[in-house]
Amino acid sequence: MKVECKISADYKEPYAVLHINRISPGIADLISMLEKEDTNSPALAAAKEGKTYFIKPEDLTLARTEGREIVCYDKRKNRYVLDKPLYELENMLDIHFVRISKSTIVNIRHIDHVKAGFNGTMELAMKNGVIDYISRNYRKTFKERLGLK
Amino acid sequence: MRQTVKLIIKYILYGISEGCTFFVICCLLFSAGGREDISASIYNDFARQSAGAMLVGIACGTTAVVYQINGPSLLMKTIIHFCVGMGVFYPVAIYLGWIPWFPGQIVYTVLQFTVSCCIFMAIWFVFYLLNRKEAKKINERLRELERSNVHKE
Repeated sequence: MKVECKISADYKEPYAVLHINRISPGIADLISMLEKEDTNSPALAAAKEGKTYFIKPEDLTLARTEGREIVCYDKRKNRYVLDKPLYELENMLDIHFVRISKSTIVNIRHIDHVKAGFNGTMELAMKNGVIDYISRNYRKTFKERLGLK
Repeated sequence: MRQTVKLIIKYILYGISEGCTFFVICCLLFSAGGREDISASIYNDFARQSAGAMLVGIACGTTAVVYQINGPSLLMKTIIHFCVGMGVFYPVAIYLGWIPWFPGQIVYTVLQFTVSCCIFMAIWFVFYLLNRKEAKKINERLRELERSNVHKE
């Protein structure tokens, strides 16, 4: 892969542009690394049983709307309540996160498998056992993020 | 609450558009197939026929909103979708003469209902086969990504 670097004092902030036709695992890692360089991967403040915890994005498996709450689950299936709307979370999280429906964002690295339904739906199971569904509207984006056409 | 109302309205519009599209395609097929007798009976009763198509579209298309709700299992959601879809389609189809109705012949009625259910399930099975193929590809890709991550770690 050809790499071109432009070094100039005019650039106030580092900014990378990749010319690619699909996101391969290596590219995904590179993007994640570059994003972390810039944002320093901020931990998310999440509440559980009256206490506030700081969760690293890489430990977050899934975030979704449950009733009136925005909640997230970690690797051990602990459930936390977040104080940020999903769209804000989506902007904060890196390339490993993808929206699968209007109400859910998942970490691709923590997906165990997907299962076909009888009615055009697709069930998604996380490694920690949490289940959700990939909405038809978001299926294309989901597949693209995996590097599938 | 506002989001839920918006979601339901969106699904109602989806259902109406699905019902109308199916209705227009059927009319086109009857017309192209030279079945002017059927086409004429539809045109003469257009308001009721199109309203029926929209109603069935809402029952079958809009109830797909159930899959957006967290809580009930996939099987339960499928049962709800199927029962509401069939529960509306069957009476509407009989009322508007889309399928023949012989009240005196119980065996024929039961058989007809079973065939309708089988058609519904066959359509779902086709969707399932297409979905299963797609799910298999996604799972293979997930394993690929997992292997590449394990090697890196």
